[in-house]
Amino acid sequence: MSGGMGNSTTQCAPVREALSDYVEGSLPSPRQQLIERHIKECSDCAHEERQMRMLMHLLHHQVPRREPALDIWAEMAPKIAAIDQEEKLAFGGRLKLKAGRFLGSVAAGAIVFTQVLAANTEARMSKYVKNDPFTANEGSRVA
Amino acid sequence: MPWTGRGGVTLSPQAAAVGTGVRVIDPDAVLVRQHLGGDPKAFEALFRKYQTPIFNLVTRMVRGEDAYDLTQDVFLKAYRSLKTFRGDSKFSTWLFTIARHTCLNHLRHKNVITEDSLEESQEEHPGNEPIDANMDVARLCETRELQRIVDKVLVTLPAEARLLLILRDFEQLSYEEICQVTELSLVNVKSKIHRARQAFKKRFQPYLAILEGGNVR
Repeated sequence: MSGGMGNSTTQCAPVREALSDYVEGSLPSPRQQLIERHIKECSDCAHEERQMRMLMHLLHHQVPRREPALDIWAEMAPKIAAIDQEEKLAFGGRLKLKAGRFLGSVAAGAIVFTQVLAANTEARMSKYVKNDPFTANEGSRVA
Repeated sequence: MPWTGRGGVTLSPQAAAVGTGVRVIDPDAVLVRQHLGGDPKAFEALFRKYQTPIFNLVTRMVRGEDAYDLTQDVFLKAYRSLKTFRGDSKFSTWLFTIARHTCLNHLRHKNVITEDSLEESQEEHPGNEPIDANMDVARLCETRELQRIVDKVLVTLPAEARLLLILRDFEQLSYEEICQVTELSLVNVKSKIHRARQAFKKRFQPYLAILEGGNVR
């Protein structure tokens, strides 16, 4: 409902839709003037416009950028040097380097996999392992 | 190459496209050329120029410690593919496009991307969250406090709305640049930014009321 115009609900909806473009001044001139006239007559839309203007002013000028507190370049420079080094290699050299990295990853994965498999198998098989009769009572005898 | 003029003078794509006869030298394109020509300091100059805008975008998109790693990722990706930069768009737009992909992929990977619409997220965050009873204009206008509150509200928006608001209202990119970064049409970008602002305003309403009372302008 409009504060200024009793029958302006239908006029308010398109005005509200175009409000941020209006505040930015990016509407064609006739539309801009039409909204300006409506705002002068409608207190609700005028309030909306005031708030939108305030919000955009706040976001554009009052909220500072987040700046990095750490020196990102210092951490990135060695990585860039590594990329340069890699790019200097001939095609064969790059292929070798990539194959080496790939095989290294596969080997590391295989080691982890076999370790996990061994631990899992030991846990599953432990119930089938018979106690050694010679050492079974060793603890109690000592005690 | 569209960005190289006669005698090796580098033109901004806009100047070249408009063909006004006015030669505007794009300093970023000059640095890209210098980098490709083997100048080791050129990329560092580009990094120093854009590290804050990119970090600002990344940190407001993902928040937390990941922002540093992701900022590095953006620049490392740019470094690797600088050879493919054709100069059809501004270097900054190209860099923001890489940053957008990096952030959205990260959010998708972490399963924290909010694919829900603004309307759905509006139901979750209707904008009536309780605010600090001691909040007044003076405190709200303190830079850090304002930054904290704005980011708190921003994070409740879906990722796409957040990205559009950051590009338009924080980084103040033109609509045309945002179209290039997001690969959306102009009409779509304008309408989505309007809806993102409306949603932000609704959630920021209690603070706006305080600022209105104290007349922030």
